[in-house]
Order: sequence, then C-alpha cells, then structure tokens
Amino acid sequence: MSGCLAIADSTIIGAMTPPTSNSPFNRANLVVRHDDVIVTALAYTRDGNVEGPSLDAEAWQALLTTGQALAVPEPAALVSGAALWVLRPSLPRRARALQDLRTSGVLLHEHMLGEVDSWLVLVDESQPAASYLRDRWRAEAIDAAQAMARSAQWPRAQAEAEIAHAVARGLDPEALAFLMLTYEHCGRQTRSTGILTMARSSRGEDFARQVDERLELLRFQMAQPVIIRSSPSTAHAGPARTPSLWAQMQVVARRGIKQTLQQHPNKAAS
Amino acid sequence: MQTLHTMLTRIHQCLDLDTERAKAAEHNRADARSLAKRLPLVHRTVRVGGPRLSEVLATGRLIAGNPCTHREAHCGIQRALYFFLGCGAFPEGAVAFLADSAVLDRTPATFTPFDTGALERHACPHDGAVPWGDAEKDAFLARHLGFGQHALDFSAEYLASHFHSPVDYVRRQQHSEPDFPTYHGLKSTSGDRRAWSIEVQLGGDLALDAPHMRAIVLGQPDLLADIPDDLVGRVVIADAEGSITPTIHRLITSEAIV
Repeated sequence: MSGCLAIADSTIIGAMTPPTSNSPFNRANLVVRHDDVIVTALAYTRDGNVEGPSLDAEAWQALLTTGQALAVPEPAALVSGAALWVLRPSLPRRARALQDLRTSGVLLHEHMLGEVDSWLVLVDESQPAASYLRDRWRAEAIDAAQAMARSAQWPRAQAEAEIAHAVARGLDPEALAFLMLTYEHCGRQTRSTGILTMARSSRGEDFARQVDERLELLRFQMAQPVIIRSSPSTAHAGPARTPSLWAQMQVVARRGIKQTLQQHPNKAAS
Repeated sequence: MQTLHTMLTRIHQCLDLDTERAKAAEHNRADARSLAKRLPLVHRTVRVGGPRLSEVLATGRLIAGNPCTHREAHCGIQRALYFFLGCGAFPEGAVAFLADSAVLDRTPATFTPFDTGALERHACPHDGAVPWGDAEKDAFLARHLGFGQHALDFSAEYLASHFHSPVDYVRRQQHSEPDFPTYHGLKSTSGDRRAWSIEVQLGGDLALDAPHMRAIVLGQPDLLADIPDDLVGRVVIADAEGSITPTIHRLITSEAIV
C-alpha cells in the first residue's frame, strides 16, 4: 500500500540496502517513520511530503532480520531529497569521498558506523553536487581501471571497475564493459559473460550491444602500444594529480584509436 | 489435500452460476493455458526468523523452514519454502528469485489459491455472515490445498475464470481484485492481492543454480557484487528504483527471461 508522510514529521529509521555487501558502495532509499506509519521514501513532493510503499512493523522487522535493509544507529530528522549512501571499507578512496561530501554541502548528518565498519552517510540528493560527485567518482574509477589494465594489474583494475559500476547512477555500459574485461583477465569468464546476459535481460538488446561494443573497443585499446605506458608515474597517479595532462593523453589516445578503426575496420571486428 | 479434479470442479460450479463468466472463461482458456506454462515461482526472502540474504547467496540455497502457520502443519506441511505463482504478490525485499515451475515435478509441494498466512489476519470471507473462527479457517485451508504438481493446470483454469484477460493475473497491482469474485469466496481486508494470488509451498530447499533459477531480480545495480559468478547471467536489474515487482511482471509477460 502506498504511504505518505509529512517530511517535517518524519524520522529516518533505516534504508533499503543490506547491512553487509561485497559492493564498495551502496545507494538506498530511506525508510522513515511517523508514529506507527513506516514508509519507504521513493519520492519527495513539492508540498513537503514523502511518498512510497508503506510497511507494517512486522515487515520492517523481517527486512532487518533477513539482512535486506539496515537500521540507522541514530534516528535522524528527514530532509527532502535525502537518501543513504553506504561507503564500505572496500572503497579505496573512502575518506576522501566523505570529505568530498562534506565540502560539497550535501552531507546531512555526520556519518554513522554500520556493520563491518561501513560508513552510513545521509546525503541530500536533491542537490546537483550529489550527482556530480558520483559521476566524478565513477570517472576516476574508470580512469584508474584503465591505467591498471594497461599495466596488466588486473585484480586492481577489477576492483576499480567494480567501484565504477557501484557508484554509477544506473547501469553504465562503460563500467559494465570494464567489469567484463577485468573479469576475463582475472579468470572469471563465467562472470564476464554473465554481465552481458544481465545487461540484455535488464535493459534490452540495444543496451547489451552498447556494452559489447565498448568491450571490443577496450580490448582493442589494451592491445595497442600506448603512450601512457611510456609515463608510468602519470598513469598510476591518474587524474587526481595531473588531470589536464591525463585528459590530453586520453584525447590523443582516443583520436588515434578512432583513426585506426576507420583505416582498419577489420581490427575492430576481430 | 484436494485432487485437481475436485478443485477444478469447484471453479466450474462457480461458472455454472454465471453465464457471462463462463463465456469469458471459455474464451480465455487457450491463452490461460499458454500463460500458465510459463509462470515462474516467485520468492522474496523476507520472513522474520528466516535466513539473511547474504547467507542465502553464500550457501546458494533457498532453505525451506517451518510452515508459517500451525494450520499448514495440521494439513501435513512439515517444511515450506513460499512462492507466489506467476506474480510478485509479496511486495517487500531487495531481491526476488524466479524459479522454474519444473521444480514442482521434482520436489513435493502444495498450493493454495490465496496466501496461507493471510488467513490469520488479512483475509476473510466475502460473505460477512459466515463464521470465521479457527475451525472454519482450518477447514477452509484443507478444502483449498492442492498438490504442487497440479498447480499449473489449476492456474490455467483459475486465470481463465477470474480475469477478462488472463495476463491481468500477473499485472494486477498489489491492491487490486480479480475481474470476477474469487471462487473460494475469500477477500482481503485491505484489498491486497494476496487474498487471490496462488501460493506454492515447496516442501524442500531449492538450489540457486542455473537449471532452477530463471531470473534473480535485484532492486539496485550495486547488489550485483553479492551475486555468485555462476548466477550473474540470471540477474535482471529492476527497471527503476524500488520497482522489483513491475520488473517481475514485465519478465513474465514479455517472456524476456533468458
């Protein structure tokens, strides 16, 4: 049944994500309460309400005990646009991510400690900075995955690809292609091919084709003797230290690949 | 436990009293049979005292537990793993498991054309004058409990005789009614579809392996990290935030399950 509560009256009691997860990052809708009414916060309305499916106390308890939702350690007042982001210990740049959230002004509450040292962060997603941060983290993870892959550090490249997928807003063809590539190189062929099947079942044939095309391009890129290898310090440092140089190298590399593909289309197909 | 013949006879008795409904059922029968063949068993692992999702994924099994109500135990159900046939009638949870109905041929099971748990609090007879105490609920359950391997055959006739279009059985919202009153006479006190959705009680565990699983629907892409390698190919990420149930229904109605 659909429920509706006034934001001003509502208290955050939890969120719809597992308390433990292999994912370095989880994003979850909040679960809020006012008196005996519990609602999953799917939408915030302009007139100051929060809407979503309602839960009875027994169902909420069942979600908690079966590890499909988590309770926040300290109930907090609800703010329009709020959602929970979980930064797991496996997120390598976690402290910096938290600092990013603080400085961008989207943090609604000091982070709370969840299970297995996860950091529970209440974020105001109605502010563009929240989306911008996720996009930036995704781009950084993709760049790092690319750098690791180029230097054949496949387990590290896989970890970065998993971060890119986790922080991406929705299914992202590039992140999925990187996942496939890195799983392939880490000997997890079943998972790699499974990702493409998942993409097709989830978003259709066109989306799966996009993932496949990106994967082909990545394979082609990885097979090229690239400029980046001649400057390992830059490659490892990634965009955080020298973003302009990194960006320029990427442009040069992409242009070169495009031209090569145009000149030798059979290479892309092989 | 009732035979398929007995259960179908009760539906047909209902049709005999309503010619318009009987005509609709006749018209729908072929479509309903076709649809019933591809209905999966839908499980949402949310039950107080049940295993945690992480344990389910780590062990690779959905574990049958004690039945939810003493009434089921009285009917001879010793262990039960609960599913709804062909719909996501249980609305909560981060994940949904869609099992192939072929498991009903291999594992002992029972079914009812309603949620057995709803008998306790959330459902009552259409006819408010009918007594509805413990004894009546016990008798009601026993009268509508079928053998699991007959669930698909039963569902074809059930869908044909309760909906103008059989696929509406799958698509109906959480709070909705069938087009014709339920032949068993049960209704939800809150209008919840669990009063008329077909529940299957599987009598044993179910391995989360490719032959059994048709799809695993995840509410969020980030949960993919928790899925074992051999099951990733069965995963479907929900179409939008918090939309697992519509995604389940899309998969069933479009036959998009790989």
